Amino acid sequence: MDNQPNQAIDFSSVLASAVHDMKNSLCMLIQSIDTLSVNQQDPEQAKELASIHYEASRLNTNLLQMLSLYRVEKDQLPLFVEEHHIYDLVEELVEKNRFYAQSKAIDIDVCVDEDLEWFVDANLVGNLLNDVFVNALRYTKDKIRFDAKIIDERLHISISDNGNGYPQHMLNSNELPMQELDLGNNRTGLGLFFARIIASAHTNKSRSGEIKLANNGQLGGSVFTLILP
Amino acid sequence: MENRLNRYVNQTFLIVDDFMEFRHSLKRMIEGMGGHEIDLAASGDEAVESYGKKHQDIVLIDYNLGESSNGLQVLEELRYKEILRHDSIVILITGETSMEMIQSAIDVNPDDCLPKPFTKATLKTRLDRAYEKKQAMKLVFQALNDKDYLKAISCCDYLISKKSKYTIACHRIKADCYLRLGQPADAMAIYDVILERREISWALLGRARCKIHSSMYVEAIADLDRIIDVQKFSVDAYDQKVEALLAIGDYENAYKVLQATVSISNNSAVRQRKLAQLAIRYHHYETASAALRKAISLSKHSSAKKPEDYLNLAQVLSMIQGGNLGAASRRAPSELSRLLSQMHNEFAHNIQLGLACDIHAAVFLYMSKKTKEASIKIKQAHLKLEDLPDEFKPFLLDEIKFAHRVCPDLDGITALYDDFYANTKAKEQESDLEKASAYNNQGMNKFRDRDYDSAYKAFRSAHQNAPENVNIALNLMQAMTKLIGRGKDQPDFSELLESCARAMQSLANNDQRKSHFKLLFNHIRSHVVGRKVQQRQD
Repeated sequence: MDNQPNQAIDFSSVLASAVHDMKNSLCMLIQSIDTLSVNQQDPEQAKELASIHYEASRLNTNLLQMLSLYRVEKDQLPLFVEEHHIYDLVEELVEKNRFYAQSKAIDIDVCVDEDLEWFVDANLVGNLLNDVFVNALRYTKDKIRFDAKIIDERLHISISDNGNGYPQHMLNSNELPMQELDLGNNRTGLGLFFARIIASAHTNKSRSGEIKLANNGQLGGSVFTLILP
Repeated sequence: MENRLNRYVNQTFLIVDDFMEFRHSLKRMIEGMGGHEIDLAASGDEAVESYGKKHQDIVLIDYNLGESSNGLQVLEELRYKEILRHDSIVILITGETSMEMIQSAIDVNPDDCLPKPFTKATLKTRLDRAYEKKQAMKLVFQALNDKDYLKAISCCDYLISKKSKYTIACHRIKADCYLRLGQPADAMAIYDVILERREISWALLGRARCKIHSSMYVEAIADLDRIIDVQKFSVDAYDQKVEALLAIGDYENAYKVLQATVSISNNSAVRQRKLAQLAIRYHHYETASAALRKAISLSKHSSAKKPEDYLNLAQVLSMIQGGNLGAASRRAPSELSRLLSQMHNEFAHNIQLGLACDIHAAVFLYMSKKTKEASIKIKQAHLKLEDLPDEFKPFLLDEIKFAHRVCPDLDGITALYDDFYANTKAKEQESDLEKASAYNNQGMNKFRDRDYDSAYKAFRSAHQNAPENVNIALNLMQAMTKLIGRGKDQPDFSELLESCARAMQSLANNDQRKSHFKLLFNHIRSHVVGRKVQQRQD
């Protein structure tokens, strides 16, 4: 028998399996909040529930990102690219966050052609956009707008708001190579890292995807753009 | 009138999850959408039984169903038994998106994969989306249910001409139908157009399949390598590459690729069987036994349970017992005797398998140095074989050959071999892939010139030289069909048909050639049977 009491624990694997378990609990939690919200008449309570829902979904997004990054490290990130209607993807994001948007009276405008189809991994891109959208919900004044169009054979999806825009150090990150991104920064450190990985995993004919951050967009605030070949 | 609010009132639902809380939470969500005819299943078996009876309109199935099976295996079984209707909506609910899951999801192709956690609103948007697609493409799915592929193609053409929202899906189904009809050139044209725009894996895979279908193996491998280069987890691509490599006789690389495939996805019995065969070829008996054990456990609960797997495992265990493999060799005898009694129990009504077991029991005794008992056993088996009225199954012949090889000096074995194996067709069928390929090319040329008689003869020779090659078997069947159409059928059709059917056993469940095969098979068989009846009446 090989007895190796000192065999090192693969900590990242332990963490991944713990995260997996947390996600299951979170899953039940979010569903319960959902059920409570539907029957809630008192506007104050409804607002409180909406914000619990918001925080729980954020937690879920973070856990999802961690799991995906773990897979990237293990070189096992599954990419399941198929044709999808971009409108459906966006509609689902808006639906997911409806309570919170309503409770904060944020106006959401979806300017996406219903027939627009593109080749994406719907779950990964959905998570990526959800993270950006959730941040926009937090930082906007009262408007968010989704756009999607094909420019030069590439899909451009952008999320703009009328908040104060990205701080300068985040705009600078546009140019930074992946390993120099500041993961400790609390606005979208991890999210940005995740977004870049997902974008660049989408390739077509030797072109790969990218993300762009900008200010002074259509609504006056920040604009996040995901570009997929 | 049907609208977004009440569309689920008249739909039937099936919820499959091993967790009671989750089943009920899902049920409440569905009720909240107006659904009220909801069946619940806690296991894969319950799900198959329930769907088999009621064909629910909407199936929500969890990927994780506990130890025994997973959601995709259940769907695969439903599809394999041909009870899964194309117009049913199937949504796979997933806790995590592992490599293995995603890859088999591509093979089984559920309508949607919904990651946990999700809210009622998300479930509803996903359901609405799938529902609207099924409604818009209703006629296509009906035609697919009826296996009327020509009609499915014309329905797709109509939707494409109307610039439907589902144009790409229509092209994909069309190409698939052409493959099922055995028209790879038409399918290839569709894939080419798609691929000009984008290297999407299903189209690349489809085109590779067209090439394999047309016996262009080297070209197919080049295409497949391009997929593997980008998506190193595309099991489908690996599977096709293995087939192409085997067809050109490159067993060594086929074995390597197959091992890589199994390390990514080990939930296909067909794949484990192929791995075992190659491992045996290279005398890697431990790999072979592990693969066969896995194949047996994977097909245990399904209709695809095969006596050959058990018998092959028994043979491999004997090789391990006789080899110098340390602990594995010491463990082999006890596993083998367990296996033999398990075979007697599980296949009690299979007389030929019983006989094969008897012969193998003799091998076992011989290996355990009980030569006298072994010899008695072999002679008893000899007598029983003499009384067997039916033609021997390939596995029985294989066991006779095996026993003769591993116990050459056992008293009685030579008589057994000479009487029952030496003169059979099995002995003649030694493969020679180069010859097979030359005959196959000759056949394809003759077929193109509409000289079906010569094409038939060439394909028959090709098939005899490569009995396991699926495409050659299909070509042969196509030539047979043409001859039948001209009233020029041959007396050996019935036997050839059976041999072609054997080649098809290596096909994965989702392989379109299965449909093409069934079409040809039914046509030829009905003719052959009809002729026999007529002969009897004459």
